[in-house]
Formats: sequence, C-alpha cells, structure tokens
Amino acid sequence: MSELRWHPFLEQWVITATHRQDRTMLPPADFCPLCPTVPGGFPTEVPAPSYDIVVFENKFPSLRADPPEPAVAATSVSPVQPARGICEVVVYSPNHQDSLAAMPLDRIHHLARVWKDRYLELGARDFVRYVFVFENRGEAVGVTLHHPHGQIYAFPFIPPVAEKELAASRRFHAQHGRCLQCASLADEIKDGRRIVLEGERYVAYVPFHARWPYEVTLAPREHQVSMAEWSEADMEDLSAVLKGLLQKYDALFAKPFPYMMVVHQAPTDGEDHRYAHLRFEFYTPHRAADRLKFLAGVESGAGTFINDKLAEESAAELRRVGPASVAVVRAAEKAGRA
Amino acid sequence: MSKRDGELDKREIRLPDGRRLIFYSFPDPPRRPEPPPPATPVNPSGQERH
Repeated sequence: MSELRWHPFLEQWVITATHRQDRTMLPPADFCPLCPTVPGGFPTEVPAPSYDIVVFENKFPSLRADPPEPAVAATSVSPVQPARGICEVVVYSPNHQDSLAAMPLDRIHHLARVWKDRYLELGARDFVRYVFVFENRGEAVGVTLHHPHGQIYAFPFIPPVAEKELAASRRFHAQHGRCLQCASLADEIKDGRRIVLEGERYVAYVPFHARWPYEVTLAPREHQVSMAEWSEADMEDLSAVLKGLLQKYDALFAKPFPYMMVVHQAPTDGEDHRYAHLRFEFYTPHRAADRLKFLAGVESGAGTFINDKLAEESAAELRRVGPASVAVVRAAEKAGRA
Repeated sequence: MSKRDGELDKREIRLPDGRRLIFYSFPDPPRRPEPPPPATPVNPSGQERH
C-alpha cells in the first residue's frame, strides 16, 4: 500500500508506504543485496560479478513511476494522491567494506558525475519537480544496509524543507539583489571561526545556525543553482573537500561517524530558480562519542531545534582532527598510489 | 566531447521484476585540471639572459 496523504495542518504530503516494513534489514555481509553477484554465490540485486558504480530502482520504493491508486478515499480535509515518483539506490563501490571517506578521489569524482547524470535524467521527467540526493550512514540514522550507498528520490512535489528554504532565498534575493547562500558563505569566510575545510571551489563549515551537534554545510564558492552546472574541476574539488570532511568526521570519535548527507538544489519544475544555491548538508546525531541527539518533544513537536554544541566549538574540534587541509587529502592520495 | 570530458559510459538493463538498473563504467580516471603554468618573464629583446 502506497499513497500520498495530505497533512492539512502542516500543509505537506506524507508518504504512506507499508510495503517498506518488509525491506531487507541489516543482513550478514555474505548476503548483502548490494554486493556483486559472484559465480555460484548468493544472487544479489546486482547481476554482475563486478561494477564501478551502479544505480537501480529501489525494490521497496516510497514513490513509483506507475503507482497504484490510493487505497483510501479523499475528503475535502484530507486529499490523497498516488505516490508517483522514482526512488533509486546509488551503490558507490563493489567493495562491501568501503566508505566515501576511504574511497580514492577518482571514485568520488565519478560518483559526482553519476549524481549529475541522475539529476539531469530524472529532472527531465515531466512529473518530477525535485531531485533529492542523499545518503544515510550508520545505524544511528536508520541504515538497513551497510554496503556503501546513497539514494535519490525524484519527488512529484518540492519537499517542504526545500520549499521553505527556496522561499526564504527568493525573498532575500528580491530584497537585497543577491543570493542568500552566497551572502551566508561570505559571512562565514569573513568570520572564519566556523570554517572546517577549504578547497579551491568548495568550502565546508559548521553554519552559524547549526541545528545538529556537528552539522556541516558544504557549498560552492561560486553561485551554482544545481549539479547541472558542475564542471569537471568543480567535481574534482568537491571530491577532495568531501573526502577530507568525512575523514575528519571518522577521526572525531575514532570510529565510523553516522550522518545524513542531503543535497539541496534547484527544483526541476521548469521554473526559474536562479536564486537557489546548491549545497550539501550533513546532519550528525552524535553529540559525544557515546551520546546521541534525538529529535524529541521540542524538535518534533515544536519544530525548534536545541543544539547542545556551539557551532564555533564544533568547527574547532573538526579542524583539529583528520586531514589539516585539502592539500593533505590530495598528498595522501598520491602517496597511497606511489 | 570525449567521455573523459563528461560523457558517461552507462549501460541499462531490466531486472527480472522490471526495475531499471544502470551500470556506470569509468575506465579512465578523470583528470585533475592542471594549474596554469607560471608566467614566464618576457625578454623583449629576444636575447637570453645570463
């Protein structure tokens, strides 16, 4: 059963997807559905003995290109629609033990090219208004498969967080004649205390308004509305900053660091969104090595985040661990190849 | 445009249940753009300097 149910108080869609209760849950490594299918072995989701990067439609999708009709009748208070859209899985590597932080820069660069290709292809569908690229890493954020992978939801609507950010960006642009993210990044660079890692084209920082303990925004210095504008040089630099940031995360508590990585960018609804600015956001549930932040009453019921960490302190902690600079990330890569 | 410059090598198949699966292949590593060479001082006379 799968449908969109309208939440009339929040004025947003809720996806009902009861079939996802049956999805594969933390299988042993020998039965990972994202590993290659080796001769004589367990038949996985990927019918090939090896691959570079593979993308496939989710076996347990929340949205489908050809969805069933809703199982319930709509009312004037509670509209219902078919859960139309596309849910894809992006498998980063054939190596079950791999992670974005450990992958060679070339592979991360290739992954960025795949993300861009998916944004363009999915965004070109007439019913897709927003292409949402994300990764959940770690059981603390609900991962059900440990194999390195991310996901893409091609939404038939602009999801509410993106819609709210876009509305704020549109208003700021109308009032000040410049992009909100460009202005915010300029402030961060000028202040400097919350900067974590700087590339030639991309900057990672704990935003002034961080809601999560070690939240990081990773954004291009130049105004880019979406992945569609990426050059090869953009993707190369993004790869190095992204890898360096994730190495810092893993070094922070000397163990794999759980996170939600989400990409906010321009919708694909055919409208002009020049005021939008592409950025990656990392939501991080650990507030200490052995303590998690939960979205409890105030966050879930009031919509107001309480952050136990100061953004300036989180950034200083992240600067102290892992690679000191993007140059160090690149040098380590070269040394590893030699 | 060469594949290295942006065109992707991808192959699509259908899984037994009808879902799309796309293999992306990357035989060549993407190149890091080389920085421009340092500016060379120009000797207007064309003679070597010693």
